Amino acid sequence: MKKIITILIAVLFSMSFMMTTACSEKTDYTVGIVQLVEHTALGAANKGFREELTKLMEEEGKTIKFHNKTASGDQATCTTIANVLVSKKVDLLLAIATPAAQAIAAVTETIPVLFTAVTDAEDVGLVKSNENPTYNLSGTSDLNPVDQQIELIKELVPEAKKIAVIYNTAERNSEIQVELAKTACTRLGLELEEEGLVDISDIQTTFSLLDSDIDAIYIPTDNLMAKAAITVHNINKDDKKIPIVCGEIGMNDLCGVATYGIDYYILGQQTARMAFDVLVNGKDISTMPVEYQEKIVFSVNTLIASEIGFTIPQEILDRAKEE
Amino acid sequence: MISFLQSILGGANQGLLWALLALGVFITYRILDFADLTAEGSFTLGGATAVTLIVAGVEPVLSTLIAFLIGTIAGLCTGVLHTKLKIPPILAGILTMIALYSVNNRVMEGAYKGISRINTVITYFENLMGNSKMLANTMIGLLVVGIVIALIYWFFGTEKGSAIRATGNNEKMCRALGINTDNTKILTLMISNGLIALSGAMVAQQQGYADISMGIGAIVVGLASVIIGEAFMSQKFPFWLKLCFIALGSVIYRIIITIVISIDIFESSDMKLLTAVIVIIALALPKLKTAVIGNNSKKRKQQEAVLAEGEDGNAEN
Amino acid sequence: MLRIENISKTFNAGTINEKQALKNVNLYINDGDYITVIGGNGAGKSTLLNIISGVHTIDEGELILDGIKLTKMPEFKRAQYFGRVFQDPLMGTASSMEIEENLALAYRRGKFRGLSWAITQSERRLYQTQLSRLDLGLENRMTTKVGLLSGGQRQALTLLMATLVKPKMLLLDEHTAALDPKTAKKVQDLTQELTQENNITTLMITHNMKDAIKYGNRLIMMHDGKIIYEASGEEKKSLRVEDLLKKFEQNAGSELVNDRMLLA
Repeated sequence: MKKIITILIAVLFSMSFMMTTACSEKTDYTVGIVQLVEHTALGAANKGFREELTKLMEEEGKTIKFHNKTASGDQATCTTIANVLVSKKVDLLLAIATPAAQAIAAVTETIPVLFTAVTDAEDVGLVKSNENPTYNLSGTSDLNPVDQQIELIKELVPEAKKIAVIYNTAERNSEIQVELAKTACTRLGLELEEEGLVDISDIQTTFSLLDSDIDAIYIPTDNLMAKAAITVHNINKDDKKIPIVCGEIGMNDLCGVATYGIDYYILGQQTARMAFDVLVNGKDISTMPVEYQEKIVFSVNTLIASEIGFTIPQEILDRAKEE
Repeated sequence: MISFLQSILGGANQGLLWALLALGVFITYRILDFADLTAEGSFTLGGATAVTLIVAGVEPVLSTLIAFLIGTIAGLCTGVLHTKLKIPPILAGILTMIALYSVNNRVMEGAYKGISRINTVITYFENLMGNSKMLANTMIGLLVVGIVIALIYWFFGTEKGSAIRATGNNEKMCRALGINTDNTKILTLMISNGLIALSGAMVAQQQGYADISMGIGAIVVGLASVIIGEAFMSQKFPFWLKLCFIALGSVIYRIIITIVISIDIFESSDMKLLTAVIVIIALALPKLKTAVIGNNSKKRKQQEAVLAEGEDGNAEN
Repeated sequence: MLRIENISKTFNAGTINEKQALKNVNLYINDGDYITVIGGNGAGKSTLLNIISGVHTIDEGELILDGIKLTKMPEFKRAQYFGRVFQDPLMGTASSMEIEENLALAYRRGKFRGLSWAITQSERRLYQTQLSRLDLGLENRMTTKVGLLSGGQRQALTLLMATLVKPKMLLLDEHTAALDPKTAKKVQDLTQELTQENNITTLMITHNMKDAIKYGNRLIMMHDGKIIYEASGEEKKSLRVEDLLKKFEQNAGSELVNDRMLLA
């Protein structure tokens, strides 16, 4: 039996050996991608990146090959993927989401690394400062315009006094946004109720325990909540019917009434342009400041609104048409 | 080819640091016969403690040792819950694990704490090995695992260690021999969770941060490593060699995952299914072995002869 | 040596399964006594032994050993005074550990276990000598895992472990009942050897009435949680099995109906 296992492992060995050598001979550039987990926003960023970079490369008559890996949410797997990609000696690495970026940062100090869907790179130590990264990492931040979004809530529900923010306490990015929401609420004279949770199964309970005087809900850009977007809407429309504003458009499309947002696909494209700068134009990544989304998108979701019996004020509907 | 070996080495390095977790799980699961689910909590606790201390300026080696000690306290909690409050083993572990979630949050003052660019135990070795991150990680992995195995081997050869082994095998007899089985169980849980916390501390330093979710799935990884290690070992191995194979199980597990990721056919999301398959194969191996080799084994015949000899020796009565 | 004073023990108090296993039992055991205990099922024999060793707690009464009050002392603390052999031959040894490791554990009964080596070389020599008197060849297989031994061998080993360090009292709970007749005799003979050699005070539960008469200097008969008959010295020696049955009927008010005991 042990012999059979040894043979199996040897076969796997040689298979991957053949694959890796075959791959690296055919392409001009290779980029390794590490995505933390499957969900709409991260997937959109991934797609935007690949499509834009491919387009840019083709315009220059070059070819680009991607090693695109998703880690199913497991941090140790991020490290393993990082190890594999680094040893494949790729020209550049893309990390989608903070844990993926950290895993790569721990494995290589030489290969240039671009991150996206990281809210505050400086806060988590990926760069020395957002203006001056200094190390081998830079990228695009998905920090959503929290301030504008809270203001939007006040515009949607003018008589609002108290709003709740629902988020995963285990995600640093969410904590950062909650802090920003607190500041915005103070400025706008709103009371903020923090509802932290740790598991998708907590969503039902959190909703049923919401105070009756909650006028609106804010859900920041949060990996766990994003995965549960449809569940959130189903729970909301059957029970509380409270207007929700999400931090991110993809999630908002599934459970929110309106928002200003980051379009992750566009963010991915922006990251691709940074990658092109590093790969082809030879720019030094340690001097490239972290970029934020250049164009904020406004989105209104009349279907969700009607399902929870909420009327969007006319002027907001008009604004959507203008954008 | 080099790049392939390099990624294997990277996987092995990861496996070495996680081997401490496997050894901790081995001690409670196999030696004490106790299914301890505290692991997910104590693994994160080790990482959180080490990182928080290092960021606060405490010397890394000391921080790591303190992480180990804090882990033993987690084990103490589970032990007391089980022995004094008579809570069933699995539940006791879960309760401690749940409580630790909040504790870890407090320790890190949030869900995460990074230590990029600060000296850790790993960077010491990197400086020694002249900037080869890979080799530095291998060196420290081998060193720590080696020391831990030596200590475990020594400990279970002592009177206390013997008492622990007996407790896992025949509790009733132990009490009749004056062994305080409550205390031996608690001590075992303390040692085990200390090791698991140590593993978390090392992994956190290797990856550059501690995160509240880093322990999720730790118990499965630990058990899978133990089972894989056991699939390759023989019951006749001396204890120290068995420990080495448990550590090897963890390394093999990581290497298999690395290979799978390298092969572009597989999706990383297949990982969970793969883990299950690996564990199933490893568990099925011994059964397949007996099925194939069967009742004609020379060993069985030898065993029966020895037993018969024992009986015949008293034929004159 | 051991004073069992007015001891009562009830199981499952307040439920449908309530059973008073011991009712105001009084017994005085002297140094050097070898007491055999007989009785039907549910008479309270095992409970008595378990009360003494501390497996069960005492509801009422006192248990005093050489002036030391054992009544509330936990089982493992009392273990230093008692050597025990159980009815199940597999229960007295650790199957995944070696013979010498088991003996080493027994050697330290009642002592503090610290970080010194579990077995020393001089100990091994002692174990070898002790094992050889069992006449089972075990002294040549000291590193064999106990799980590979037969029930009789394990029981003999348990007996040796119980007396390796002389206990104040040896508690035997039908320790030959689960063995085949040949092995049972061997273990019983061994029991005699060891107890007489070191003058160990012994309490032996047995289902074999002939053995109960033959061995020991005192005999007690239990029924329904009480000691209903006691014999010692000459009276005991001259007893016959029919006498015991008659005594039972007299004192218990019913016939002793127990196949194992009658057909032993």
